[in-house]
Amino acid sequence: MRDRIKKVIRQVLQLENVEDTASQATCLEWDSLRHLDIVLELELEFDVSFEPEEMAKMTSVEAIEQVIKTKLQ
Amino acid sequence: MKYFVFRNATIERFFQFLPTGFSGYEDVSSVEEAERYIWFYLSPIAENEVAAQKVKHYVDLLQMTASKIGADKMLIVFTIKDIFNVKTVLSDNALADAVSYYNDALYELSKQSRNIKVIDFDDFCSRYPLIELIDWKFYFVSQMGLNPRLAADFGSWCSSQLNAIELKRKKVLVLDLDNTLWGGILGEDGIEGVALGGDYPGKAFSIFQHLILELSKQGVILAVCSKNNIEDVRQMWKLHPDVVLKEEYFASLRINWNNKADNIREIAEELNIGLDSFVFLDDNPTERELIKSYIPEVVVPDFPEKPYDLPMFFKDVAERYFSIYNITTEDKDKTQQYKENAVRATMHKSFTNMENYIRSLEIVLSIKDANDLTIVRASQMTQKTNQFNLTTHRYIDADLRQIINNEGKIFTLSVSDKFGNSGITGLCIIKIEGKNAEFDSFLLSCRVLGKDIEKAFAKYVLKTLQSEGIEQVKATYIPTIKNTQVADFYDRVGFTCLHSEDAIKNYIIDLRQQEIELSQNYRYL
Repeated sequence: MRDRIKKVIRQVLQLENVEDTASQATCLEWDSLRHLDIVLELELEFDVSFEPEEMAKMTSVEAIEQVIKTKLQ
Repeated sequence: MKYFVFRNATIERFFQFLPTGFSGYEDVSSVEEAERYIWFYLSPIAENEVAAQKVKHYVDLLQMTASKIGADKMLIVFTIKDIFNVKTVLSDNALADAVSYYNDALYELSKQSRNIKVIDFDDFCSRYPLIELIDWKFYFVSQMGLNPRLAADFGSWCSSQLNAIELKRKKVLVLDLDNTLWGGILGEDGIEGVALGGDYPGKAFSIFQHLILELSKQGVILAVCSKNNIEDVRQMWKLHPDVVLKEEYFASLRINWNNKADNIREIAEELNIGLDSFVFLDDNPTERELIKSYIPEVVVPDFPEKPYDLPMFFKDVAERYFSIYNITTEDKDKTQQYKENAVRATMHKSFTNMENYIRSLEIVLSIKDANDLTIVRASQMTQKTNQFNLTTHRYIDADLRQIINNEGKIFTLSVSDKFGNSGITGLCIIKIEGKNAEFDSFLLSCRVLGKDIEKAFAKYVLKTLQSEGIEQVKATYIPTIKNTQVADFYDRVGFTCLHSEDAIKNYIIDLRQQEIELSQNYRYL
């Protein structure tokens, strides 16, 4: 799952590589607009719909994985 | 092409297909440098009365912005669609009224300023149920005024709308001459005979020329592509009192007997303008079809059959392809500019697909012995045909009957293709003595030239004579001021030049042991 998340982030942000530790705070390209694109692409990738509260939390690879795991349970 | 978008919502996602900068929300304080400006405001989400007020206010913002941008940059404005309209009081049309006030204002602005173009956003919205146009979750999370899932669709819809606006303006108008800029055929009817000025139909062509001249003054580049003798046309330009479009208004001339697809390609190279900026006007449907199939980038409007339809035809072509947002002095000098820059290298590039083109026309050559019904038309042709006429002997029908009575033969040629039948447009008069024959006259109407029909006609006639036991055929080319284009015709058909004196050339061909092949590009009847 982590790889799929990283792949989405990599594609949206057009980066060569995304670390496991990547987050909105450490990644310059990950601004609020791109954040929205990431959310939209993740919704498609995992066939889920995120609530606004969840979107606000999804600010790092790790946090995203947490949110998706909870949703898929 | 750099764009700058004025907006009141988060719409970056929708304009990803363009290189774009964005204003702040409802921010018109600064105008960034760009080549094109877009005004994309969405219906505000608020209670009706407030939303209505806001929409009206947007009109003021837009007007301010339009005047800041100025008249020489294009501003593309989108109409508003009231996506969220809560109607508890059914008679309350405040928001709907405000939206139509706004949209009317856009159209009014675009009428006043030619650099302002309206795109009807409803055309996009109407493809979706209202409920799909907005995704409230994303609206509240990030002020997305439109459902982000529609971004890709919007992109393709919007770019086609923009293309329509951008492509509207063509640069070059290529014109045929005979029956396009004047009535009749210059090479046949002469300067006195063509219809231009005076009464109808000349009057219609005269107005047509004036209208085109005005277009040229607005920066449209004019060029000529015509099958004619350039000397004749120069005389026409110089001497005809009613000529409006004279030589100096044309940036490029291709007045020759080459095929028009090659000619137009050459004009494009000479002017260094892409073929997709070309519009080609020609009365002849066969020529139009040629250009349409071989240079599909060129716009080729159907030409009216009646001269009285020329003004409306012009209006349609001008508005469709040459709408001008703003005229600069640079525009006005364009023809001159291109003329100067043009490289006047004469290029001989063959149209590799000429054969395919000819075949696609499905030409049928109907070659018959002249009879009582056709002999009058045949004599008329000898009287009227000047350009494609090897000897220019003039006959009345009685002369022709006498030739037939003295063992001679007269072949008439009718040409038809998928566009129609041109009637009798070719003639070959042969005098015969025993096993020797002589081409007394060989002529074709210029309507059917340019498709190698003349060669096929001559070969067919030779083959027929051969099958009737004729052994030798003589022929003569007698030059006149009008028939220089056929000076080497008999050479091309396979005759041998015996001798030439004073430019008169005598030919012979021996039909014994001669394998005459007929081109398979035509059907023969």
